[in-house]
Amino acid sequence: MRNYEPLRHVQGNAIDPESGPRSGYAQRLRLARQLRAIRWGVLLVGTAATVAFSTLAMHGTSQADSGQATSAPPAQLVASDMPSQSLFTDGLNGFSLSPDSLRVGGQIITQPHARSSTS
Amino acid sequence: MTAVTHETVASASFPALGSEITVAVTNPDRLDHVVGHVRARVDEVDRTLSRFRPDSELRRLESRPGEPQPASALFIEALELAIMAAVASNGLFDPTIRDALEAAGYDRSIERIEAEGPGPARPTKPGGGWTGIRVDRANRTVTLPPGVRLDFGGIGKGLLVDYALRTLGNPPCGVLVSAGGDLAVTGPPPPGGWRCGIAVTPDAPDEAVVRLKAGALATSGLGRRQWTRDGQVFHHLIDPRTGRPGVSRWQVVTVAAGNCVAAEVAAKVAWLLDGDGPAWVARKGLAGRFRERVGAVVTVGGWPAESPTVEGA
Repeated sequence: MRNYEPLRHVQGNAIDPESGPRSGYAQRLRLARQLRAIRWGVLLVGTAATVAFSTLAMHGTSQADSGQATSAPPAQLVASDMPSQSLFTDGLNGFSLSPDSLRVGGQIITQPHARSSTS
Repeated sequence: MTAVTHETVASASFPALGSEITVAVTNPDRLDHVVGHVRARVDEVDRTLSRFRPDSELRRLESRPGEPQPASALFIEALELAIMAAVASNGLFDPTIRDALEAAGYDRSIERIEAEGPGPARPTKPGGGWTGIRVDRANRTVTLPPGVRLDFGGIGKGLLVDYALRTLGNPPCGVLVSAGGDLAVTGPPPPGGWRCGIAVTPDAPDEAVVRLKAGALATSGLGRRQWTRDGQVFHHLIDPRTGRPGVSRWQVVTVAAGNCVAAEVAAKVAWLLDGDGPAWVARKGLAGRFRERVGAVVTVGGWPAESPTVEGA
């Protein structure tokens, strides 16, 4: 789960800049309610953003695999936004490997279909 | 270009990107078409990602650091994959170790290094510049921090293979594409699967053979891209933690994965992880073959076990 830095910025702006801070218990109560509402709002927005990002990431991966053009989602990405596992996700089931032998019928086979090596 | 027909498979090879590109198909009638398609993708990737071509998109983007620059969809895809690889490997895969590569002497194409010798020694620094790169998908721009220079290297070859195969759509026959030994397959494979030899270098004997029906294989390690400067051996596998060529007990590491980029990144990271490489590959759900310098082999994650003696080593 990613951290949402904007949470702190929203809290810092919680005091109404036009009316200014008020004194008294009622003011503090109102401010506390406002803060609570803002926190819930940020939580909801954060959750929605997480779902949206995950959906877009999966969408992009599946499109890339199926050969379709990848659409450009409206997001600005930095390294901290990148999911750490997604590069290898389809590596779990995406390959099929079985053994073979260098020798077939007693002869060393020197002409495979292809060769994996350093280059 | 050289063409070979083997069993029901026809293949052709041609030099590009400092390596050999191989295309194989299960229907020989399709070979020319697929080779033409792959050649076009090779040219596209080279024009986009090459650090050696002065007219490449990479060189253009690097010329104005610190500002959002328009970038092609292919460049953005390559950059995002490279950053994802860096995140997934905790920075052991690093697309921003270009200065370290050049400090080690790899400042021109490998053909020129082999003919003219390596570049001069320069001060080096650890990697990590990828954390400051910004990608704006909506406006299709990329912002590179000042002082950050990119090298796509092996991931570029992996991307070429994946890109060439996926843009074929659903081919009516099986297709294999290899870029310097990083390979992947699509479509119906030949009976039993694609027979793939595992070797240290393209001209070395096969040490093992596996059958691949789907997915990709990539091998990373100490092979061709080594050179000597002032009596000291250098190579291209830079450890971003030090900014110097890495040290590993493995001669080569081969990884099987769902796509060629993942296989290539995993092979390189596993080589740099030294003794921790096999466990890391297994944790990622991939299969790997680790060949020590003395010839012993370790296999993990469902890679077929081998006899203790490596044939042809």
